[in-house]
This record gives sequence, C-alpha cells and structure tokens, in this order.
Amino acid sequence: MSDDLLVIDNVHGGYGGADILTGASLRVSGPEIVVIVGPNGAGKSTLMKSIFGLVQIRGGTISALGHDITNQRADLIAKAGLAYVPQERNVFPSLTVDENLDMGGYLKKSDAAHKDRIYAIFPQLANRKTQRAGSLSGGERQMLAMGRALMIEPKLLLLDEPTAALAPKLVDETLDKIGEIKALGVGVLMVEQNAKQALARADRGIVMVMGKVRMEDDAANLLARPDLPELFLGG
Amino acid sequence: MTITDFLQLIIFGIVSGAIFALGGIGISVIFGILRFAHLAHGDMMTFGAYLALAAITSLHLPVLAALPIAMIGTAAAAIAIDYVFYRRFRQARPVVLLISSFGIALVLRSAVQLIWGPGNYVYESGISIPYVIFDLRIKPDHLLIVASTIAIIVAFHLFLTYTRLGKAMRAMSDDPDLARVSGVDTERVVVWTWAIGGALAAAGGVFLALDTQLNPLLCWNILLPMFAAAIVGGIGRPYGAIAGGLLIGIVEELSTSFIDPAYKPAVAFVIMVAVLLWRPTGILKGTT
Ligand SMILES: Nc1ncnc2c1ncn2[C@@H]1O[C@H](COP(=O)(O)OP(=O)(O)OP(=O)(O)O)[C@@H](O)[C@H]1O
Ligand SMILES: [Mg+2]
Repeated sequence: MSDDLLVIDNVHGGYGGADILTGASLRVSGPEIVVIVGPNGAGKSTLMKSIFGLVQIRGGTISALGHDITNQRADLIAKAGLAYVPQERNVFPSLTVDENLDMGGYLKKSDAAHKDRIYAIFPQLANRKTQRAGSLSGGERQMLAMGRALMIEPKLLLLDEPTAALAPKLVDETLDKIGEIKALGVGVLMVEQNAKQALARADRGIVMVMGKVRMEDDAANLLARPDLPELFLGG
Repeated sequence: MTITDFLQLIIFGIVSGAIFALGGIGISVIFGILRFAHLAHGDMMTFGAYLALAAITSLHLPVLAALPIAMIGTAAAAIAIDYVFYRRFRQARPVVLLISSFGIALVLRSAVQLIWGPGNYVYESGISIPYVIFDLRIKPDHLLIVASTIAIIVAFHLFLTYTRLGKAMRAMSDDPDLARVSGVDTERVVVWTWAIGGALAAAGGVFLALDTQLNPLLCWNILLPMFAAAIVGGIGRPYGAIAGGLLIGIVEELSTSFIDPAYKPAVAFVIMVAVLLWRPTGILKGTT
C-alpha cells in the first residue's frame, strides 16, 4: 500500500483487435499536474479509458489510492475518488448545466454548498444553469465537463485534451483553471496537445508513443529540451 | 361531419392516445437505456391487464383499486424477466435482444392463455351510462382512463425531473459510459427502468381492457401504433412518446370517418412515415 494516487504498471490492452497499450507504466503521487503528450493515435485516450475500466486491460495492473482498480467498474472507480473528463462526449447534452453538475455529485447525494463552489470556479456556468448542455459553446462545455468531474470531490482528476478545439485565449484560461484545481489538493493527470503551454504549468511530463511511455521527466526539463517537437511528434 | 361528431372523435382519440402514450413511454425509455426495441411490451401490458382481472375477481376490488396491484405486479414481472433473460445479453447486439424480446412476448402470451384461457373477459359487466355535455357523450370509463393517465404521467414527470434516480435515467439515456464515470450504478438504473416501464405498461393494458375486452392478444394488437408513438416522438424521449401517442390516437379516430376502421394500423404507419420525412429523428430529437 502506498501514498501514490495512481500507479499504472505495464498495462496492455485495447479494443478487441491488437493491443493499443503495449506496456504502459506511470505514476501520479500527490497533488501534482502530470501532462501526457504524444502523437495522434499513440494511445493516450485509450490509457485514460483503461484507467476507468472502459477499455479491456489484458495485462498489467492499475491501482489508485491503494486499491487495485484493474478492469474495475467505472462507477466503483468514481466511488474510490477518481474523476474523468473524456476527450469527446464529456457532458450530458439533454440535461441542463445544473443537472450535469448534479450528476457529477450523484455519489454525494446533494451538496448544494459544493455546487456553489464549482459555480465560483466557473462563473460562466452560473449564468447558464437552466440551459441544456448540448447548446453550450465549446469552451463552456469544457468548463461544465470539468465542473461535473470536480463535483465528485476527487483525489485525482483525469483530463483528456481539455483545451482541444478551444480558441487560443480560452486555452490559457482553461489551463489556469487546472492550476486552481491542483491548488485545491487534487492530483491532475492530463493529456494535452498544447504541449508547451501545458508543460509550463505542470510538475511532470510524460511522452507517450505507440502505446508505451517513451520518456518521463520534470516538466521544466522536458520544456527545455530543444528536441521536444520531435518527441511530441513521435520522431 | 358535424362539429359534435368531430369533437366526439377527438375524445375517443385522446382515450386511445393516452393508452398508446403509456405503452410508448415504456418502449421509449427502455430503448433509451438498453438500446433495443422491446417487442414484448404489448404482451407485458396484456399481462398487467389480466393481473388486474385477477385482483378484481378474487378480491372484489373496483378497477381503480386493482390498478396499483397490476402495476406493481407487472413491474416485478418485468424486473424478473430482465434478471433471468435480458440481463444475459447486455453486451450483445441489439438484434439479439430484439429477437429474445419476441420470444418473451410469446412466453407471456402463452402464460396468459394457460392461466386464463383464450376467451374474452370484461372487468365489470353491465352498461355504464355516459355523461352528456353539449351533445357530447363522455363515458365514465373514459374519464377515469384520461384522468388516471394524466396523474400517472405527472408523477412520472416529477420523478424524471426532480429525483436523483430520474436524472440518472436521463443521463444514462444520453451517455451510458459518462453516467458510469459519474458514479451511476447503471444496473440499478436498469432495474428501475423495468419497474417504470412495467408499471406504465400495466396501466395502459388495464385501460385498454376497460375500454374494450380482455383477450390474450389485447395489446399485441396495438404494438404498431405504440411503436409509432415512440418513434414519432423521438425514440428514447418519453415526452415525445406522449405527444406521439396523442397524435396517433387522434388521427386514427378521425380517419374512421373517412376510411374503414380496419385500416387504423395503416394510419399509424402513415403518420409515422410522414413525421419522419419531416423530422427524421422524431418530434423531439431521438437517441441515435
Ligand atoms: N473505440 C475504438 N475502437 C477501436 N479502436 C479504437 C477506438 N478508439 C481508438 N481506437 C484506436 O486506438 C488507437 C489509439 O487511439 P487513441 O484515441 O488512444 O489515441 P490518442 O493518443 O488519444 O490520439 P489523439 O491525439 O488523436 O486523441 C488508434 O489507432 C485508434 O484508431
Ligand atoms: Mg485522444
């Protein structure tokens, strides 16, 4: 038993066909921001899904907060204190903003005070409480997805490309929010395409290529490497 | 057609529309949560109608008192059927569930025939005298059907809108994986889906039996308009099924003044095709 929030050990798995993950290992310890970068199709999203039991793990183990969660049911993983914002389809479109947050707080029954704290972190959402999530802009939707995840009061938050398809101004704003989330004592493991901006705010960086972790280092060290773009492109 | 005839047909249409809606909501919700067309829904309704008959004859209850018994009994039966049969096919393709639900339809129908025989029954014999308001004849039974349906639908609406489980049901209908990720025990939601689908089915069955006569094919015969109601309304959207049910009920009745009533099912089909041409995902945007 360890204090690590998340330990992924030599995980193999995928979607029925050949394995997409071919021995991925990583660790998140305490409230730190860990950024995963890597080329398209490297298996970054697949790794996130495998943590939440949405992809079959055929080898290796994943443990979180001292529990073995390998191939566990997603609702039990949420119960253990993990939250996940998928890359796509990360809000309930036919539910209102407020109801989306209620769903995030499903396990907590109802905690109005905590919901108010979420609205304080994402003030744009407070003006749209009764609007359907499906009609939000991309940026608002991303805020809502993070708000829904935070309603679980997680120890560890998984974010899959939270800034994808956002306007440049919103990218910085969103990444700053993630800094605020860490300050609440939450560990963050996130996949990010905006490598430089994300690493600038991260504690550690991980480069993932072809279903494996190719490199792992302090974010500052990774940022300082002149060959970062090649690493990122999987060269 | 005089205005009185017209209004009279509208009243009949609302009555059958209410029954289609009660069945259509279940079909729609089950599709939204489990992603398959539940072909046994008509026979589940018939089963509920016979449960009410058993309560009426053995306990000498009025129909309104037998209704909750039939609803609870059918809900329990629906949960049991899911537990024993459908649950094994959660990961299977929808067509597998479609076929197995057809099997369940035959099982339920045979059970009804074995227990109650193939003949016709009525809940209460004797004739009821209609109220007459502005030359419109309104049967007490019709009043009971429409008032009870409104009460049931309001209760269902409050459940979906305000309860934790109701929200979880809508969330799961939107995106099952995201619901799980949010901590929803989806198997528990499935159990409640069957409870609600079964209870509403029983109500629809009892009301159709009250309006006509019990026989083993009672609600199998209205499976097409009920599916049409669910599809027209936007499959997976229970409120759409209510709108779809009323639309189909009313247009079917109105059509009887122009064409042979035997063509009623064809009318339901034509409405469905017409609405889908206009809005391919139904009145409310359905699940895809
Ligand atoms: N649902 C799925 N079923 C089958 N194969 C899939 C599925 N989702 C992804 N894949 C395949 O798995 C591989 C890894 O995909 P994944 O989405 O994990 O990559 P990624 O690193 O997140 O890429 P991106 O940067 O584009 O988001 C790809 O080859 C992809 O085609
Ligand atoms: Mg991805």
